[in-house]
Amino acid sequence: MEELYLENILNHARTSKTKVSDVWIETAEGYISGVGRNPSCGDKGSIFIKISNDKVEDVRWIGEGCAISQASISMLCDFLAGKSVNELKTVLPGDIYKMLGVQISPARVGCALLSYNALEDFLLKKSLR
Amino acid sequence: MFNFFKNKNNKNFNKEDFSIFSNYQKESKTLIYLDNAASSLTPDCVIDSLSEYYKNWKSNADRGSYLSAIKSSEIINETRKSVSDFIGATNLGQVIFTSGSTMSANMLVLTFEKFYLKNKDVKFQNKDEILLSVFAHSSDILPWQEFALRNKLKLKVCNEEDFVNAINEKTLIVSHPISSNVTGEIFDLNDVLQKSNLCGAFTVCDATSSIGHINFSLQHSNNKYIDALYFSSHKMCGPSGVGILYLKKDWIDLFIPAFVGGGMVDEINLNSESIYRKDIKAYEAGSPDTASIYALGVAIKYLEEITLNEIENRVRLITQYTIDELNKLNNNKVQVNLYTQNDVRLNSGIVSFELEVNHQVVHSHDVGEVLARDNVCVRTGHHCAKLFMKEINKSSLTRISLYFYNDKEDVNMLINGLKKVIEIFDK
Repeated sequence: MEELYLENILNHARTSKTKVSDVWIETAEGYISGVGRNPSCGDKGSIFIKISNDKVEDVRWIGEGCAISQASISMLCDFLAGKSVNELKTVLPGDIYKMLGVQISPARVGCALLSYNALEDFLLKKSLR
Repeated sequence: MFNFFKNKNNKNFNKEDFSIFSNYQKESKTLIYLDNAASSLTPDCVIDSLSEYYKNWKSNADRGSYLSAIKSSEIINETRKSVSDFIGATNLGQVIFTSGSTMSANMLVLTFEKFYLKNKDVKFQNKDEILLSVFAHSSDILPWQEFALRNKLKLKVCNEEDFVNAINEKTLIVSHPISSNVTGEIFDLNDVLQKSNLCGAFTVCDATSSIGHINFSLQHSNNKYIDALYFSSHKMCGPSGVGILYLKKDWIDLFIPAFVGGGMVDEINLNSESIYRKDIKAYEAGSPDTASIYALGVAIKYLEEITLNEIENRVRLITQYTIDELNKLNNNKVQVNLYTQNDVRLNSGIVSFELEVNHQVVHSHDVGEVLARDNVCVRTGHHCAKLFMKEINKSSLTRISLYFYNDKEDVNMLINGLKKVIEIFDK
């Protein structure tokens, strides 16, 4: 039972190295944000990506929600660091499940893929610039 | 009537009447079902009645002269009376069979709108406000919101403190649930109903969390002023797929049905308006779900045999035990914040809460996930009560909803499960 709450997931959800505060957001420059939401519960998360020479120079996140949704964003941010924009475009929901490393029930899909929704939103915003 | 309760002696009015519990045990598992506000479990007599109908009387009601069609018609007529008696509708109004509360709510709004548009300038001058409770469910809010947008009316949402004062001569619609699906609170609506009636507003009550759980009757106090009320069968031991819309008798004659089709039309006129039936079946276009209607009748008989007084007593006791046991978890590391009506006499059997471990909230999804691994079934999230969640500034809560078959052992398993949650998140 506890495997869903592996130390890895709880660490990412609670002590993520890439999580930022509202204060950071006010002063950040050069980042494009992507927002993800789980409408069934109100969980939300935003990723902030700074692109330089077509690569991810820096990536941060902020969010509120269950351990799965927050761990998912944190893990995705670690994954995206240093990747090219083209590589960002190839991320699939299956990759998120692999990162989490645990079985996700249908009821928790919205939680797990909140990060993926945020990435999609980022890519859309980037394409509009 | 029909062969309700063929095996009368097999009714125990507890878990033994529900095979789902023994079926879990056959798999060496225990089902701890604490999600009755989402859907109640179904007793075997109700399940058997579905099979009985399909094996003996399957046909389309009111559409044939043969025996099974006549039986189907009788089933619908008799269940209509059973439901009417169950909610105290006798001499006040009639009940319409729908597919559930959400359908009832939408049907009501669209039917009311038809009447409103025809009579706006005569009957509804200066009435442009729709008043909703902060405790409203999505299926209560959204149809009225859409009605308000289409007709440029004002939508107002009030908490309990301000609700009565918000009703005035400009109020067109007053909508308030009988009880909350988050806190379990059974509302005292006497003042609301009285003022609504005095101000000439159309009053509607969502009874989905209430019927079959509390001793409610349209005959009690000012309930007679309720113009419309609705609820679902599957939340009160009945089958899924059927619900009820009650309308006060005056409105039945005045309204024109919004859902039209076969079985409710007297004459089709292509050059002018078609003429619809004048009785309650005008509101039941299409083929009825006679099997589910039959099973709903069986469910009502089952609950009547237990009696609503007994149901209320059992639920109050187990709700009190739940509140007490949750409060016992509190210590310097753990905080259980309850969102419930603490006076169990005014609680339909629902206790919602937020769990904090070391001053950090454990998200309800995480609570529910850990509990689910031990088959402790609760609901997590916003419970389709987003206005209330916004009012209390929470995005989600864990909800326990109890019914007459829940016992102390269920609650003890819940507490054991929560201790596991605490252990995991105390890191």
